Amino acid sequence: MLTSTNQLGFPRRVVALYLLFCLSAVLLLSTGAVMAVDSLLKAQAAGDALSQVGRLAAAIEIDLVTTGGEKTQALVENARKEGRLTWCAVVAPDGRYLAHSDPTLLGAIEIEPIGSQLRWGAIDGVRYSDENGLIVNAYRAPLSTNNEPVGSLVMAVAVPGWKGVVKNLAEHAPLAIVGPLGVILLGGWWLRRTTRPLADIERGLSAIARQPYDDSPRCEAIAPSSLAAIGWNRIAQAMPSNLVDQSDEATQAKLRVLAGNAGGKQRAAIESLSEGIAITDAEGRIDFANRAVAALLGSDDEIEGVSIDELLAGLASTKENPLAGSSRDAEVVSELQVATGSGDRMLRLARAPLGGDASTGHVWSLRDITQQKLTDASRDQFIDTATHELRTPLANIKAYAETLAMGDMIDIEEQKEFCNTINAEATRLARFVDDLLSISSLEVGSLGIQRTTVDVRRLLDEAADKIRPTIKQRGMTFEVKLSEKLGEARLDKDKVSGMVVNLLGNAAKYTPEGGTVTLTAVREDEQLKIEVRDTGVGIAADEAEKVFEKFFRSANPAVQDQVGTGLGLPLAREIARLHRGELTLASKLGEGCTFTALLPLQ
Amino acid sequence: MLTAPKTVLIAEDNAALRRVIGFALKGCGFEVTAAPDGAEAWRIAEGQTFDLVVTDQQMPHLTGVELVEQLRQSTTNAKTPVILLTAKGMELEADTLREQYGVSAMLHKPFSPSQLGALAEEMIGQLV
Repeated sequence: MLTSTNQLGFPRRVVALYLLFCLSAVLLLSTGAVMAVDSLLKAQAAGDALSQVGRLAAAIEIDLVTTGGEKTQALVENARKEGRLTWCAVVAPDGRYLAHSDPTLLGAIEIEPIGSQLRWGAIDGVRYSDENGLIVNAYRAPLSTNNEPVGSLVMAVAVPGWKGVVKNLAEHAPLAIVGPLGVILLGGWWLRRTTRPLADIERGLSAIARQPYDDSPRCEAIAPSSLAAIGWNRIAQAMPSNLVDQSDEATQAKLRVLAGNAGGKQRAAIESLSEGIAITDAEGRIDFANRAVAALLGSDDEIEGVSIDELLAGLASTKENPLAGSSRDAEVVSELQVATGSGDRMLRLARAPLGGDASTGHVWSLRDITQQKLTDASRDQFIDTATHELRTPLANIKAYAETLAMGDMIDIEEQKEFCNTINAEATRLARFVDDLLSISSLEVGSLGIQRTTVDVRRLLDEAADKIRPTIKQRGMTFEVKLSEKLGEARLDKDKVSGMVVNLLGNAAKYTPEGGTVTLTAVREDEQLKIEVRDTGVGIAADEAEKVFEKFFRSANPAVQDQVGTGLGLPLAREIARLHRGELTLASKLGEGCTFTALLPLQ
Repeated sequence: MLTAPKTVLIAEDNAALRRVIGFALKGCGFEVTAAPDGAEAWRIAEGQTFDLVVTDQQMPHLTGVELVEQLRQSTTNAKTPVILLTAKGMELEADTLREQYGVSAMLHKPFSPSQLGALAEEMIGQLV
């Protein structure tokens, strides 16, 4: 069984170890520095001394030649003072002191110091300890005049000891000690800061470890200062025991929204929603977001902990947060236009305060309503078109009927024409209503076909007859080329006829005066091929498939000028497909178009 | 009292409606000129001052409101009263049309020819 111990927390241990190693490194470095400075100072002292020996020897030689040694004693004493020498002497060939920095020893027999022998070129020397415990180097240089040896110069220099080294190092201490020390302490602080969440996690884990085995473990949420901490919090939230007994009210409110009273399934359900759900804290940072949020906001990065307002403002086409001005205590709904690589998208945002007011944060829902907007737009367009299509014939019927009823100055021919107009307009109205009914059954998929055996040639002739007056009226040429071998086929007579009339009607509508509309039909490979070709305005390549979409109206002004429901072609294609066939379009803008219906006969 | 007949310009793309409007206004004693679209109506109106213009709203090339805007800028028909026929009465506010574009009156389809005749007579003489 584990027991509580007072050992240091993990980050403190890390910091302590770090400092220990740093101090060891500093100690080793300092030792190295002392040693290096020591040998440097020794070499420097030796160099100085050697050059001084040379100069002094030369001066004494000159003095011996010119004055016979009158100034030698003065030179030696001077050299000791100026060169900070321990002592200095000139020894005659007979072994007596000819000159000495200590005048009491003049003429005395030389006392040769005993120690280790040193040698630098012509100069040799001895290293020894004097009575004061100082290490002294005594350099001995031979003196000669006119190539005759006249004795030797002995110069003793104290070797700098550890005091000298310390004194020398002390000058650089502020930089050499404070600098590294500062860096080490900064490193320690940073390390402590970085590992703090680990301390919290470790504490949590230790607490769990100390709990009895028969309890389901409980763990507490920690400050979300890092990814690891957020991860810990998510584990903490998923703990079943945390969900039933939570003291933190804000967290409880969030959990109610998130999961009711049992973790995993609800969370998984929220994650799987296509609608984005996010929870933000009182400062607007994201505490939780399901996968759809990141996808809707187009964010590949971790978004938890990020301010949602900034995310939204960054995405908006206007670069402004659409909810910026609204009250944080009320439920708000807004739309946000987002520019993405694949075109503009529209997001619907809803924000509601958690638990009634903004102090505990907000719950957000995000939905992509681009498709809905497009559908709305095409429905609006359809209603516009339908209104116009319904009112125009109605207006005519009403106007002509009233004129007929009230006018008494109308001759019989005019009366007949007026009646014909009313009839034609009523037919147009009826056809539009039929279209609407067909499209509405197409909507619910209930548009079925009833195949009967029909004479194909007769069917197509009748369809052509229906549209012929319109084509004639518009001053166009109508060519009908039907193969002799069309024979009989099992088709839905009304629907196929409707499809052909529709295609011919379009051809007539979008072909200028003087153009040609051609209807051809052949039977090949057990297929019935019906082709409607015109020399009209044509359809641009980018609209070639769209013309088969419901309510689609071309952007081409020549088409916009004409009245249309945007229903005919989708319906025609549906009829072809119900016959297990297909309706296709080949067209070039400005050169007319050809619609081809291929209907299998088996 | 003998006066010259009042002139009216009709702009309407639907041939049947154009004819019946013309018929109704002739019955009221107007001298009728008809155009099959807004652009043609504008071409005619540039060269002649009319006592009244009756125009459909939804027409190819030039809509009714666009035609009115051009008429108000013209030298020939800046003050001519205009009756706008519309199938989309809900969208365009009568006040806005009157104040912003100078439309004198509106009639929603389907309308009665006698109502149009009465409105036309009422408009005559009313300068914008």
